[in-house]
Amino acid sequence: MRKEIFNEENKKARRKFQRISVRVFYGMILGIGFIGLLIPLRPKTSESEKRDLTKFPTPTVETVMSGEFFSDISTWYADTFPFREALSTANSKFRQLYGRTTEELHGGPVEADAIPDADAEITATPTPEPEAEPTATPAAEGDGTVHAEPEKAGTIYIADNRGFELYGFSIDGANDYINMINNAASQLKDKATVYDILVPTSIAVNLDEEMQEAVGSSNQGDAFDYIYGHLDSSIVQVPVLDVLRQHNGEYLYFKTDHHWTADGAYYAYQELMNKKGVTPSPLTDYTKNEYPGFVGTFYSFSEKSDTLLNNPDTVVTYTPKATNDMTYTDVNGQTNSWYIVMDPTDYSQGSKYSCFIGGDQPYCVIDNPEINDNSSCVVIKESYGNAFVPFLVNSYDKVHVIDYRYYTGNLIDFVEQNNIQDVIYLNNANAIIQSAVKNMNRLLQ
Amino acid sequence: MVFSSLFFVFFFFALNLIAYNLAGNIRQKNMVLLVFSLIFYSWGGPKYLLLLLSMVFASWGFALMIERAKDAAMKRWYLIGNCVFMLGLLGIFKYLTFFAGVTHSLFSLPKEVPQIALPVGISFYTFQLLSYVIDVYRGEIQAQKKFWYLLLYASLFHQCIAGPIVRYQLVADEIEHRRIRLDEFGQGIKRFSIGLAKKAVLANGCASVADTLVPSLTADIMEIPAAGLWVGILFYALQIYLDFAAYSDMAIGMGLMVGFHYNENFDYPYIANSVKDFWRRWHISLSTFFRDYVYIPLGGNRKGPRRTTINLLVVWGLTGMWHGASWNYILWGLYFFIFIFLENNFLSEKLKRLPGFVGHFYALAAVYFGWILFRCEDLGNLGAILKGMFGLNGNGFLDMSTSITIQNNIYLLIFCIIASTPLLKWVHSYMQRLQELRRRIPYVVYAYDLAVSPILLILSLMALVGNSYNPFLYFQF
Repeated sequence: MRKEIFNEENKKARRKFQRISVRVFYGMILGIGFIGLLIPLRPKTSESEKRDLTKFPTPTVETVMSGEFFSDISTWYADTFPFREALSTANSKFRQLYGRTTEELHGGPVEADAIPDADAEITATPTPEPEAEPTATPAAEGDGTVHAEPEKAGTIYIADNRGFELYGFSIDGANDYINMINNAASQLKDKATVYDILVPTSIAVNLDEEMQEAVGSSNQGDAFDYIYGHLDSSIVQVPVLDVLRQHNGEYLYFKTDHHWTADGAYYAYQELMNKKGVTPSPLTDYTKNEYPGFVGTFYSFSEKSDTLLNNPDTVVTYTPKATNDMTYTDVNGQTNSWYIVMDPTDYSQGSKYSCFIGGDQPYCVIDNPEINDNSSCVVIKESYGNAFVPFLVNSYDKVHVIDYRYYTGNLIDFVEQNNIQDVIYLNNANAIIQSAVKNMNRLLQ
Repeated sequence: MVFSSLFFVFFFFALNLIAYNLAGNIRQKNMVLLVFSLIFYSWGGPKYLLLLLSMVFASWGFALMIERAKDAAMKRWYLIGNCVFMLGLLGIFKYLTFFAGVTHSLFSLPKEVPQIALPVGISFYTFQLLSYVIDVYRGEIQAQKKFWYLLLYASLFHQCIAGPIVRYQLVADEIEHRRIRLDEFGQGIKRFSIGLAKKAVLANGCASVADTLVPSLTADIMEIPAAGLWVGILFYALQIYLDFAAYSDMAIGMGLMVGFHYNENFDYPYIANSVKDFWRRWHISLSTFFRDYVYIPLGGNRKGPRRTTINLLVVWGLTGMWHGASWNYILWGLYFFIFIFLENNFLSEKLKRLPGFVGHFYALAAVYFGWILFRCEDLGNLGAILKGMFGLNGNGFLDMSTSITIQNNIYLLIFCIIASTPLLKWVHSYMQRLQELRRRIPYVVYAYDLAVSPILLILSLMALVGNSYNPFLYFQF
């Protein structure tokens, strides 16, 4: 081919490609722009992040003048973009290319205080002001998909196809907790027995201590020893860390979620009954069910790690044969009938843990029709208590459950009015922080 | 509004493309650009639009007065008037809080330090307008008679708020006479998409690693082992280049799509072989601004070595200050003055006699440590980082979490380093030339050019949906 002819042909070919390129570009910008205008396609909530997405801002003179209104529009536009969930999942898959992912770490270093010895003196800390009203509203009714406030993401370490949340000991949180529960015990003296169950999180049970230290997670055994070492002698301590560790080959914690499984909770129930000197009800008293396809909070905490998505959990439930009925009171004071264990098959992949006792309701009560001895207990808990409560049904006439984050009443009055014998505090290690203990204190005001 | 937001790309810019294409003649097209630019600027708070308008109005008026003035002395007075007005406003909005803070801490005066928010882009458009009026004074260009054309130049959303600093003379003709050529439009698309992905994917990716490894609180920095800090600053160095270069890419790309030819702002700064060379490649429009409007008018290097040194000191002090009203930026500027001074006196000669990689390594090291200074508005952090880098914070060399963070981002790091060099560009033109020499039409290259923009747009869309880490770094300057 002669040079001139070739150059001419080459130019033609280039221009042809460029014309296509221009059309593709216009098509994409305008096409995606058009999809962006389709308001009904915009999601309102994010299931994986467990939060309501940004709402379209309402202009005020002030926000318009400061430009805040306009920047809020930009935030709203991006936050609620159609197909956001699919796009961000695709992005997480793409991000797997950023590096080697045999182990992953999501989030910065965890703040932690040094843990004093079990017999160390408590350093004086100011007593925090209790909050007048609960700081958060609980899960939506039933399937509890979305929380009004996003759950605070901790630092997630992923290894061996499962996630662990790093734990940072808070000395102020621990001291406040000690003071709180000692205060409860003294107020409940001669009225009821206080039990304290400190539940480790998966990192303390499934990862050896050297690894825990290496990834920068505080030692939960030492933390619990410190707390138990300072409790009033009238409080019955129910340590469960050792027994959970002994059985850590079993499925005691979810791989993709920060909660324990019902099997983990069952060991804690056994320990509690042993302390009470009562024979725990065997698992044969329950109907076992398995619900696969659960991908929990670690997934969103890790900005959607593919490793977790590819290793979904199975939620195992034990429904008491005696009854599956319960009643709960929601944040609006409405009383509803519900099930102790609900079939979560239709719940979204991230919310299957809500199958236990209706999720995080301020208050619920279960009456066992087969026991009529007026025995009763109240569990003061956060969401770790949900998987635990069903086992108590076979050991008490009545089981009351108070979620201290949302319940607004007074615990002492409640115990007196309902003639309750056992007050069971159940908290996971991450709940021993000042913001949580503040709410526990509110129950005692 | 930032370029790297979905709202900008798929709403604002999409509407702009439609409106621009619907507009019939150049006058209408300019109207469209102006209206969109004013909306774009108001997005950060409409009150600052008044500031922009008054600065453009002053520049327009002074330039006309300079042109019409009969004698040189009057011209000079008008020029001084303009500079006092423009730099006065820049001083009030950008530096007053800082200087009042300094005098407050020294003499307790004023009693209360005024807190003035920095109007977005003021550093960029003030310099553009200054260059315009000075060029009119120098007789290099004619003053623009139409106010709204000058307003269009200064407020044009492509470059108004984060550069490049486009000189009026570069685009003066194109405001009224410009045409779009197919191949330039194609280039513009590619530049725009590459810029967007550079920001949304690469720079934001680097930023999140840099922020994990080099946290913002001194107490947190004290916990990071040495290797974490070294690698963290490396990610920061990549972030800051990719971030800023991305903005210029997008600006240049959008310019090409409507027929404007803006100046390049970056020329692969990290392949520089001396600090001087780095500054010929980094934020080129700023260094040439200082060269042409400060250094040379002060006499440059023509008035003896002592005067040259003073001139350089002034230029580098100002360069530092331009980046922010904080001590660390001023120190950062002066830090480079030292290297330039040394290079002028003997270092350049020495480096010439050594193998090439020595100069390259020296330049990178100087720039690398400079970024630490640049990052630390809190000078306490500076000490903590430097001590930590040499193992003096007692955290050892490497811990597990640092090692995992690095491993999780190791390919990102490698890719960003490659993206900071002309390697991909070389491969591209090599492939094209190879085929063309053999008289074959380089379809592979054309197909790549066709595919790259849509792919990058999709990747950016994925990365920007619900992304919390967004702002361009250079917005604060």
